[in-house]
Amino acid sequence: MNSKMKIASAALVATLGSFSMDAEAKLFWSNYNHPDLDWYTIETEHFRVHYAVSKEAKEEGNSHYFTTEWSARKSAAIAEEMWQPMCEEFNYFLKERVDIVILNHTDYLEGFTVPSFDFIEVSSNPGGYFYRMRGRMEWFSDVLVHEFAHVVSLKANSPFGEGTGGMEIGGLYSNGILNTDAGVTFSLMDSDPFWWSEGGAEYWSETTGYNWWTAARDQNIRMTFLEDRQLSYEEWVTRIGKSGFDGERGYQQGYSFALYLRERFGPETFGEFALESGKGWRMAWEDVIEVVTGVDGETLYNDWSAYLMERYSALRDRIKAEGEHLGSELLQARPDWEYRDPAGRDKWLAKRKRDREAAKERSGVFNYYPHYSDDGSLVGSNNRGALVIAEVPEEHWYPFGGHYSTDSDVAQTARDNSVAFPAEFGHGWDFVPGRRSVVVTGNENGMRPFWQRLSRITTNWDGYDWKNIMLIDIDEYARDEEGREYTSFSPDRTGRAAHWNESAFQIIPNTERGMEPAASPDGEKIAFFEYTDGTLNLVTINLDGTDKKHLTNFTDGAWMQQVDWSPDGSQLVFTMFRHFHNDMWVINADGTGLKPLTWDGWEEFDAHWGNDGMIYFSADVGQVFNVYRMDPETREVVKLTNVYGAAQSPHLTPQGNLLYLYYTAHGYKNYGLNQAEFMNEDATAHFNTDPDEAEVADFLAQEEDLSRYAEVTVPYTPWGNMIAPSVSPSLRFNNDSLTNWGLQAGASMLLFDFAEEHLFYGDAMFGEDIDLMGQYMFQKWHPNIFVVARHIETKYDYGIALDEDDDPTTTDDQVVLEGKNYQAANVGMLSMDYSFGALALRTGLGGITYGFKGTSDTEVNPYMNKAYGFLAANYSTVSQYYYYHPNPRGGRSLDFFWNYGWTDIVYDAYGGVDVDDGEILDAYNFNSFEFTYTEFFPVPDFLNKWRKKPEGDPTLQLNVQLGWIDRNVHTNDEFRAGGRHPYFWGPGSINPNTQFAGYPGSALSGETMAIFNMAYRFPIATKLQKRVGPAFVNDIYGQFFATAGNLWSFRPPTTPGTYYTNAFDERVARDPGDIVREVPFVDKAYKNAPTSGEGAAYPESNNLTDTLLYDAGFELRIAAALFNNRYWNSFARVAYGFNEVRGLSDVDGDDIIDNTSSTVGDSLSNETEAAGFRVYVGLGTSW
Amino acid sequence: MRFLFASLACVLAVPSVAEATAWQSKTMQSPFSAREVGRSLMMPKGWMEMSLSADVKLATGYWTPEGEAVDFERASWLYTTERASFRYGFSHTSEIYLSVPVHYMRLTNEDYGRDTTALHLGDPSFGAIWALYEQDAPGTSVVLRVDLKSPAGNESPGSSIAGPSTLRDFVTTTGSHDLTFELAAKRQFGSFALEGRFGYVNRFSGLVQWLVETEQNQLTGRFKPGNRVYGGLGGIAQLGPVALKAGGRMMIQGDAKAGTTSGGLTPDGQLYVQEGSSGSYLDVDGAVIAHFSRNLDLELGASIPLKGEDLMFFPLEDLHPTIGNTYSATLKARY
Repeated sequence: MNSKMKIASAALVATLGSFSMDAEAKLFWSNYNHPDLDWYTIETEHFRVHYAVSKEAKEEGNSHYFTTEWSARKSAAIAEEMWQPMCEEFNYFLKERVDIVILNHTDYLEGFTVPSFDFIEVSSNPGGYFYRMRGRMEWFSDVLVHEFAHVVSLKANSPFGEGTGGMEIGGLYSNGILNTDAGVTFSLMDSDPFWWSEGGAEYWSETTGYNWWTAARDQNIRMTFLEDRQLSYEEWVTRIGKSGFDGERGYQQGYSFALYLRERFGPETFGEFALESGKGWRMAWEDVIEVVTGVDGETLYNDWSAYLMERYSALRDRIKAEGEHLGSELLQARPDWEYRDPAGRDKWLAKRKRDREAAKERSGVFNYYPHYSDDGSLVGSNNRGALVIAEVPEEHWYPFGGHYSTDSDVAQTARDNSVAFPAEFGHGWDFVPGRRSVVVTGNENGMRPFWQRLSRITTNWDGYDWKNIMLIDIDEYARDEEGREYTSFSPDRTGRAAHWNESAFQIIPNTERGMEPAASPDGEKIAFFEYTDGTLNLVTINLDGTDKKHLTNFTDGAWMQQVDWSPDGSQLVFTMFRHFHNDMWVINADGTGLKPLTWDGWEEFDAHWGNDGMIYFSADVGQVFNVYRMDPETREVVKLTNVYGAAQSPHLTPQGNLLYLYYTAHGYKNYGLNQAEFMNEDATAHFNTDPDEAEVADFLAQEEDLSRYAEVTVPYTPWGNMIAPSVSPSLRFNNDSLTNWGLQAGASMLLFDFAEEHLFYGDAMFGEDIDLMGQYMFQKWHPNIFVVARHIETKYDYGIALDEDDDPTTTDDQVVLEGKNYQAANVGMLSMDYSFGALALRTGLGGITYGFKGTSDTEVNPYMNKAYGFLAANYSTVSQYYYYHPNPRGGRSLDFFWNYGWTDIVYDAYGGVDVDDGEILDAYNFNSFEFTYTEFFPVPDFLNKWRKKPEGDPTLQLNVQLGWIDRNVHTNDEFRAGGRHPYFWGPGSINPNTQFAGYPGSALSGETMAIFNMAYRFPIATKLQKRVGPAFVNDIYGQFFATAGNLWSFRPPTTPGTYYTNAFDERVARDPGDIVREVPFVDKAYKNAPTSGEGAAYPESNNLTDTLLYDAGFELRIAAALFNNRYWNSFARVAYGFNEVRGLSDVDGDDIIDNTSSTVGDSLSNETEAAGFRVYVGLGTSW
Repeated sequence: MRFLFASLACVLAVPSVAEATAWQSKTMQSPFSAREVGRSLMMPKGWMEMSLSADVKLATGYWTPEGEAVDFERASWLYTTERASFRYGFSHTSEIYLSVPVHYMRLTNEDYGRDTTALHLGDPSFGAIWALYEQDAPGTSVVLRVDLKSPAGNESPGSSIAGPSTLRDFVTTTGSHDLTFELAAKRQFGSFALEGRFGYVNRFSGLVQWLVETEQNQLTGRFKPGNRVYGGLGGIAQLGPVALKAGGRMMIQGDAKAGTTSGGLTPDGQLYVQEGSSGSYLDVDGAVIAHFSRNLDLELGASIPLKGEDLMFFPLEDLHPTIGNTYSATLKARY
């Protein structure tokens, strides 16, 4: 790499570095800035609680008005209450105050902590489904104690000083002779296994008095073990690579393990792991288990597993002995696991365990709220954010007396007339009687126009996307599929976007922040729960948004679940969590007569008022959820199911059968139980259905006085509420040349205020080279403002080959001299960005200046000054998740970059000008356009026929890079290409990092660029979930790739007399008009193609070798994690460049720049790199 | 001195910021003695120390290669080092640190009519300290320090042919890396403590801009400074919030080598010993440390060279080519 190029590369990193940050720029809490909010802080002894209130009042027309005052005050009260017992748990009493941010501008569950920042963030509206997994809904106490347990336990656990985030160690070794780049990076950091940190947070919430082992948790672990689905000892250490219920399973397995250790070793055991870990760093955290307990971790895991199996097997056997009343899953075809002969069994058992699990998960993991329409024609459930409805007569289903797949007409109708409407994840919904419509929990943007759904380019100017109740008509669409004309509930699709009749989707007015709608029997009204400031209340409203009535007016965190109307529409039944009570309540439709139907210690969920006048609900009597039926008049209760999993969300079908959710280790499944198989066991005695009225009255009147926090509430100030600074030390090495190794040490620092209005990031690295960077982000207006400044000083060695007589055939006058170069560069940029869904725009101004300092210089001599303005657009339907994924698949990414530059060559030694492509360049303006398109085509696994077991899904990746600069520019302004290692450039999985990997890095250049790259990526081994030392290996992918293309430049004149030779022996055009632009795909690119003749004489067009360059190669990708939590993706890449190439500077990589007869005026050396292999290896560098 | 004043202003501003959330003290911080006499040689876990220091040396003469002291007659030489340092207690048993110096120099020579000043970055060093043995009250500390110094300083003398008449700038780096291993120990005896250290510095070769191959103007040669061993012994007396330090240290340096880069695994095959480039020095020094609080110290010190030699290459003051006392001030802020 020559001198000029090296600095230019560094400058580019500064620019790219700024772009690589999320265009939304938010670290944690929102995709949008909210200048419409005022922030306040409650200051208590051990905490600061920050919360927002709308600036503009509702009365002033603010439809998004909210306050968070009660939520913040309640959080402050819980926080101070939990501080002492949690600190006692670890004998670790925090000196530092902890900051809690309460989010209330979104309607989505959030709760996390960054312990070293002393930072907890939770949403005050967690959505509606949390209780189903955890069996409780005292949200603030649950989430805050859990997060605070993280703060204390992880601080105690860390053997390192806080705020370091570990020490980054890494480097890149490049050997130009061997054509090999080898990089490595890792963080020397503390490691806390997933099961211990999350299970522990649940466990310590219990030991400090806020949590308990609920029936919901028990069903998770019970079915996990009974269905052989537990996370293995190897795989439960990390949350990476988890799917389905595995995430929740990690929490509950850890909690259960903690309870087991408590019984065996005492209550302090789990916490002692933290204290032991904090004494010193270990390669494997699990060693602390043996130190504390005297038994190694894996043995304890096996002991615990055996203990649970014995316990849960006994429960299962008991229930089976009693008589299981379960029914079966609503499936169109008999599942493979219900085999009926030995051949079927053998076929099923021949599958890998993970394939059997995947088969069982195929019908959905997160199914909620199954319903049948009143006319018995439609059935549906909310399946992971999609309301799936199908036309299937009840009697068709196997559990209701039908048969699997025997009626092809019914099956065809079900396929045709099935539809998936968008609906919020996990929320209740309902059919609207008297019309083909449903009401669902949607969001305020409703059904976006087709083009927005197709493109995923959306607008959200105010940044709000609250939940709303949506009325959806089930329309019929004419379809023509391969000549078969039919009608369907589902319209045609273009890509992923359906051609919906958009008028069929209506937001019901005045239902902001509403959820869980239930339609009245007459189809005129809905009841739903309305969220305000940490609390739900029951509301009814007409379908047109008129006549809104609040039936309850709680203001203290009451949470409600599943409301339903009585058949005559006069009453409503629902369940409510309030003050650690969870019971079923009934209320008159006019808001009077609120009273509990149950008043006991069981968890009652999912109340449904059947058309038979009975109330169906789920309760955890005996720690197992079953479906019960209550007569609202007599209060007699009958048990209908008897299962060892969990039976929830009952719905009485029009024919009197039971449709419900059955909990399995592979998901919540829609089950049917024929009425003839109801257990019908009297269970009245288990429930308190006649509560004391005075006690209930006291309960309803009870409200905590939190007004004391008004005195300690102050306006939020960013400067007084910064996070504890996070300083990450770094140690980097790289070799400037084969004989010159460089080491750099320094640190990066992140600092921002808790409302994320101001953010600073600095990075300072010192060594032989110096790199100082500072970034500031202003996030108080809707667009983000971004400022970056960077200073770089670089020293490096090189050799330069001289040929006194310019005759390569005489070698005695050739000599290689050593040189050491020193360069300095300053880079600055001011930019602004805003995104529209998948489209992100950024614009800004920047400047770069750099120069050299030689032995006889007393200061840096400026070489080039450059200023630019730019407009960048990025459109991507590929999730950021794929940044770390070994196999981005499906979707596309497009980048457009327009740069208007002004460059001034000012180097005194060259007379303030420089020559490139035969033109004297001084100060000039230019436009540069660059376009990159990457498509990730999902393709079938062609290798499947040879595999015994399918491994996953391959991807065909197509990448096109086009560039155009509108005039001849200096080398440093040209486009570059060539292989690159991701260590200093960041991972390249979105924009592939394989283009021209067969050629030296950045060696190819020109003003016109056209590069086409294709890669076929396929799984070799996936979901391995294996530990190898401190690494956790998950997936291994391979890919073949190939590239074709070139970069074309402007060609110096060739006709004698049209040019002269300057003092540096460079050819200069007498008339710049004689410098001709090379025509892409027609001309041979003179800068990148060697001559076909002897030596390296001036490349006339007729002796250049190639028009296009080609390469091909293979890459291995290993997706892994290191020390449990940190991605540690690694790769090895071999590429073969088919063409011999010329290029910039030290093209052959021997650290000697051969300028023995460089007389072209093109900044090139005379070196060429022969066709051959290049190898890239990266451990932990991603790919 | 203007840098010192600026530095002081910055650091003195810290206490007012300390009230903010970002700078609050943390539970994870290990105990840290409020008195110098009881402090470990390693920064305790979780403590960060930021210090700014300034050394000033106004040379009165120089050492000959034979070690004789000669007074300047018509020249004066001011050499200062302003240094920013960061130390962080990374774990219970380790510290990491980084130190970045800046040098301000002025040389006047009436014989040649020169008055040259320069301000340049020096060579930053970074490293780690491991506690081999630690004991509290009375404090005993035995540590191993590994340090790497990198050649970020100015390598350009401002002239291709350097000499008193052509000097335009000052070199502030050897242009090469040093790797130091040091063993240090400290033992407290009530209000007194003894401290000793012994180290070895392996100095690598580097292609350096200041070493000019005059036949090929402006191209450079490879240089390897001589390796070093050094040792020091000192004592501390604690008088309430003030600590007094005194001691001596000695360094012996081997021969330097110069030449061109050779191929193969080591680039040093074509380097040749530079006669007269070895030597030694001996200093005594003392300091007064005032503890304003556990979080803020001010240290004022002086160093007196007793013995030195002109080691022939480049005027870096750690080699003591000149004679003169060095006075220093260091402000240390911690949180």
